[in-house]
Parts: sequence; C-alpha cells; structure tokens
Amino acid sequence: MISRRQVLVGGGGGLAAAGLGPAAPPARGREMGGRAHALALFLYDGAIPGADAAARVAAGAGVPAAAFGGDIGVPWLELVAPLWRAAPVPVAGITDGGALFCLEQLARGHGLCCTVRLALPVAGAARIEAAARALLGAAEGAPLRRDSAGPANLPVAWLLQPIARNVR
Amino acid sequence: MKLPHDVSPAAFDRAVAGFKAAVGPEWVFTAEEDVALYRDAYSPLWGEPEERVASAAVAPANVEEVQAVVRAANQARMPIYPISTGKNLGYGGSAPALSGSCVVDLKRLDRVLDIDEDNASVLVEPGVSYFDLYREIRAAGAKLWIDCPDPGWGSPIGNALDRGGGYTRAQFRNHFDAHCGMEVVLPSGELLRTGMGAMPGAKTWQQYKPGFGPWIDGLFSQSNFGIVTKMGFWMMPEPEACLIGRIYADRYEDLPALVRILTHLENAGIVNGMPGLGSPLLQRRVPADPQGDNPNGAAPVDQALHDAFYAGDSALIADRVRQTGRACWSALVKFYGPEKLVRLQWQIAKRHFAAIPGARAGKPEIYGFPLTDAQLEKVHKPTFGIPSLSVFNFGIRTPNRPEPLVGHQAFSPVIPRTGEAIIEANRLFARVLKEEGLPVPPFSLPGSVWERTAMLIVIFPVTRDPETNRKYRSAMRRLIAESAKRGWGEYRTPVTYYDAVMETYSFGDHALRRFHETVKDAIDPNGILSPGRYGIWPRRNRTGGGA
Repeated sequence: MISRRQVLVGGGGGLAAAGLGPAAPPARGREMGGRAHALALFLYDGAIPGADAAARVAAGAGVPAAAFGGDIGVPWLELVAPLWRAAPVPVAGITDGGALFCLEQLARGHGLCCTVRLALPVAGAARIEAAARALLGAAEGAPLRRDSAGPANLPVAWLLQPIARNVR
Repeated sequence: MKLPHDVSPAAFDRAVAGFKAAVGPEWVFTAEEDVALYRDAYSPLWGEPEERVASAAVAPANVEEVQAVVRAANQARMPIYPISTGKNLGYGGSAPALSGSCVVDLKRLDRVLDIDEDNASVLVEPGVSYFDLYREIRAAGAKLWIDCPDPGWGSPIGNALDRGGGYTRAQFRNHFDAHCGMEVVLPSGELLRTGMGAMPGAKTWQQYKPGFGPWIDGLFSQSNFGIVTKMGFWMMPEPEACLIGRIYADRYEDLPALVRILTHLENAGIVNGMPGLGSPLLQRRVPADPQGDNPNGAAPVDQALHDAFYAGDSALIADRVRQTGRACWSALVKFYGPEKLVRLQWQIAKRHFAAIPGARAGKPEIYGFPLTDAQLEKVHKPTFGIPSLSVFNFGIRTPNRPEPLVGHQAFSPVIPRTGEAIIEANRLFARVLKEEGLPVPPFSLPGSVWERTAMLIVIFPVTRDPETNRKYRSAMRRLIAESAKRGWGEYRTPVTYYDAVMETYSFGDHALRRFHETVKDAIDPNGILSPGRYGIWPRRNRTGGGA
C-alpha cells in the first residue's frame, strides 16, 4: 500500500522559451514566405538528451519553441493555456509520457486530441530531429502516424490538434 | 449512442432541441468525437458494456443558460450530469454516474468574480481551475495563497464539492470547509444563494458562512441536489515563512506515541501545516535514472522487511535500523507564520516528541517568499500554494512496476488516527488482497489531510485488460465491505463504487440514504439531475433501472 502522493511523484522545473518570454505567449507560428505554419508552439523537455534539436527544427519552420524542465504545469500556465483560451491551435512537443498525459487531458476541454504519438525509446539529436520534422509535417496535413505509446517515463513526440468543435 | 433505459430517442431529441434553444446549437454536442471527450480515461470499466458514458453534452455560458438547460431537461425528463472541469481522475473524471446522461459542461462559466485581499477571500465560477485562480491572484498582485490538490488542473468548486483536500493549513486544505457561500441552480431551475447570499445586496457573502436558519451548504456536496454556479472561498494570506521539520523514531513500538503526539500538536494549533508520517526504513531510494526505467530512484521492495512490518517483528526491524542507520518511523511537521514564531513552534514540537525515547529531530528547512527558482525546482509546489502538474509523472515503469499504468483508482478509507489503527488497516488490506489473488502491497503510512483522522489510501491500477480490471474491482468491493465491518468508511470513491460505499453507511436501516432519497424526490421529482451520483438515485431509477 502506498499513498496517492507517493505514487504520483514528480519534480519542479522552470521554463526557457526560445524566442518568446513566459509573459508573452506566441500567437501562431511566424510568417514564413507569407504563410504561418499550422503549428502554434513546440514544447520540449530540456532534460531529454538531444531535445534542443527539436527547437532548431521548429525555429527553421518559424514555429516558436519552448523548453521546460520537470513540471508541465509551468508551460501550461505560461504558454499553452493562454494560447488555447484564444483558439484551439495545434501544439506539438517532445516530452515524457506523463507530461503528454496531462496535456491530453487539458486539451479535451478545448476540443483537441493527440493525433500523433511517436515513442522515442532511443533519444538523441538525430532521432529527435526526425521526430520534430514528422510532427511539423503532420501538423500541416502529412499522413498521420497512429499511437505507438511507450512507458510514461520514456520520451514521446506528440501532436495535439483540434478534432472536435467542442471548444472552450 | 447509449441512452438511459427510460429515455426514448424521441425524448432525447426533444431534450437536445431544448438545449439548443437554451444555449445556441453550437454549444450542444452529439457527435461522437465531441462526446468522446467526456469519457473517463481512468474508468475501471473501460471498454465494457457497463462503462459509464455520456450521450451528449451542452455547454452553457452563464447562470441563466444553466437554468434554461435544467428546465429543458425537466420537460424531456432527460438526465443531465454537470461537471466543472471534469478532472477528478481516479474518482470518475467527467463521465456520468448514469450512462446516457447528457453532460452539462460548465467550462464556459470561467470567471474569477472577486478577489478580496483584505479579507482573504475569492468568489469563482465552476469553470475556473486552480491554475486560472492562481494566475488571476498573481495578476492582481494579491498576497494570497490558493490551496490546491495534486494536480492543479481541477476546479476549486468541483474539488470542494467532491470534498477534496490540499496541503496547507487545515482550514484551507479541507476544501469544502474553506468555502463561504454558494449560488445553486436547483433541479427545478430556480436559483438559490446560501449563507449571507440569501439576503439581496449582502455585504458579507464571502465572510460569514451560515447566514440565518439551517446551514444547507453541505447538501450540495457529494450529491445531486443542485448545480453550483458560484462559490466563495477563504484564501490563506501569504505567510512570512514556512518551516518543515522531521522527527525520527527507531522502534516499531513507537508508532502509537508518534501519532498521538503529532495529532495533539495539530489539534492544539502548534503544528499548523499538514502533518505527515513515513518510514525512512521502508522508503529507501537508489540513484535515479531519469531517462531509464527508474526516474524516481525507487528501490526494489524489500519483501522481508515489509513482512516484518505487517507481522510486527520488532526484533528484525531493530536489526535493520541498526544496520542501515535509517529510522523506523518519521513524522513530518510544517509551520506557517512569522519566522520567529515558526522557529519557536518547532522548538515546542521537539519538546513534545522528546517524550519518545531516542526520538531525534532532523535539520529543518526554512523558506521565505517568494521562493527562488532553485527552490521551485525542488519543493512540492502545492505545499506553497502553487499549482503543479508534476504529480502526473506517475504510472511510470519502475523496478516495482514493470508494466506502466494506464490509470488508477483509489480506495480511500477514513480510519482513526492512531498507530494501532494504521497497523490494523495495513494487515486487513494485505489479507484481503492476498485472498483475492492480488499482489500484497508494501506496508504504508496514511495521509493526514483531514484533521483528527487518517486516510490509508490503496492505489489500484486501471488497465485496458477487462479481466485484470474485474479482479481489482472485486478487491475494491471487498475492501469497502471489510473496512465497514471495522467502522472505517470511504471519504470518496470512483463512480463504479458509489452504491457499494453508500450501502455501508447503513445506520438505522439506511436512514441516511432514505433521507437523501426523500430530499431528492422532493426537489427533483423528475429525477433529472445526476442520477446515481454518490449513491443517490431518484425514484425513477430506484427499481433497478439506473444502477
């Protein structure tokens, strides 16, 4: 027997945004050649080896990227919630499964669901970069890869997209 | 689409038409992808015919629309099931207690209506989350703390009505006790305000709780007697300091004295934060492997040691204490207030614990506010009034759990806060699980969210395998019944077990349940509001149709 608290343990953490500040959430991907990328934000857990490669891929596509460490509640409060209060826009990321689970539950209230979920049992810059490119492509309508979830503590690349009209 | 057995497709269509007239067609949802959003991700009945699912959803924007939805439901005799943010995973999520009900999603009632820093209170709507409230208080520059559960994505109103708890001072961490005044849409559609709010133009709705006459607020918690559309809460003024101290005791026999002193210190107001109990000997850690199979550094269970705790083998335990240098028990004490005062309270607490031979104090942690970034990365944020989602780094694969969890359900009985009861409860739960053919869990210590009692939570996994889920459901039902034989009752339970738990509150030939039903029939004669919630069924469902 263990307590709910003992089961549900995690860490704290801050937020470091690439090209955006915590108090100024991004509106959408910036204009690239006159067109905004469909993806509004790319989140990544800075503790995942090679995850900053995702930021470079996102930046190349004009998508704001933000790193966080530990508590997905920080980017939720500072970045994602303000975004989705304005509109149910797609958000992608590379995090552990626990963080994705939280965002999936929160996304429900805004009519979004996880449409792409790629387990990354072996992290590293090359794998992360490929996953980030796949997510950016999927956000723009490339064929979807269906669930291949791994354990909650392994990295996962994911895409949350609006699929319902039941938004906040 | 599933409908309640006594709701025809024609009645459902009438209800949907009424809802559309009430809130506009764009806020009524019947498409599969919209309704699926309300499925309980942690349902212990996942994928089985008995899984509780909604038939539709409607999202009113204000109180008047809530009233119109309730009236439309009455006209069609269509069951509705209000949710605030629907995040009480492990206790039902956003799925209705009666399959086929229409979810009334209150997410659009999302205003923080008042923040009164001088009197340390707020007035909120049900769609406001702890994160929302935290953000608004911060934006207002008010030196107020929220008390939130793990995780902070839920609604203060929803959590209080489910009688959830948090982590700060007792009068705030008991979330229902912390409320002051509510506004309720009754099953008739009529609007009611409780406490001082019953007086038009009241100036103290969020300051004085009872008002005049019977204090009825409790009727709207863990019930189906109304839809709460506003609720006031008392907030905790930001303290100057917080001191967290630990007392260690080495002998197995010390537990009763440790618990008794801890409880006295809390009841006397010397310890004013949430106390805790632990066992350093049992909770040993190994180096964490953040990207591997053991990110939290959980050590493999030492079964022989746990067996010794169950059996009361104090000689073996004493040997292990000597070998490892780790104490058998620990008590966690927290103090909020001026720094001088909390240091003094800590000294007084240590004097009390000195009555236990060999008890010793650890070096205390002292915090001032705001916390530094480095502190924020290490502390348990809700202890400091900060909502967090880090708690959901759970269900992960560990040495003790080779398969990660899909979800969990919690058996949460309230037991006496005594060392003897803690040991007895551990032994009972282990015996029941063994008899049910399930793994015997590690010996554990209870939570102390509620004053004067303890809560020994047993977490069961929820899987996607119906046979495994069936085994755990069976164990849950046996634990509920066996605990009741000892006078221990659940404080809250997943939807699946509402009736089983209510069955145990049976004094006077179920006088309490009959009273609930009498009230239900009087104020909700059509039985439209949340049938079955917390084991309260309206007359139309009491003959086997609903449950």
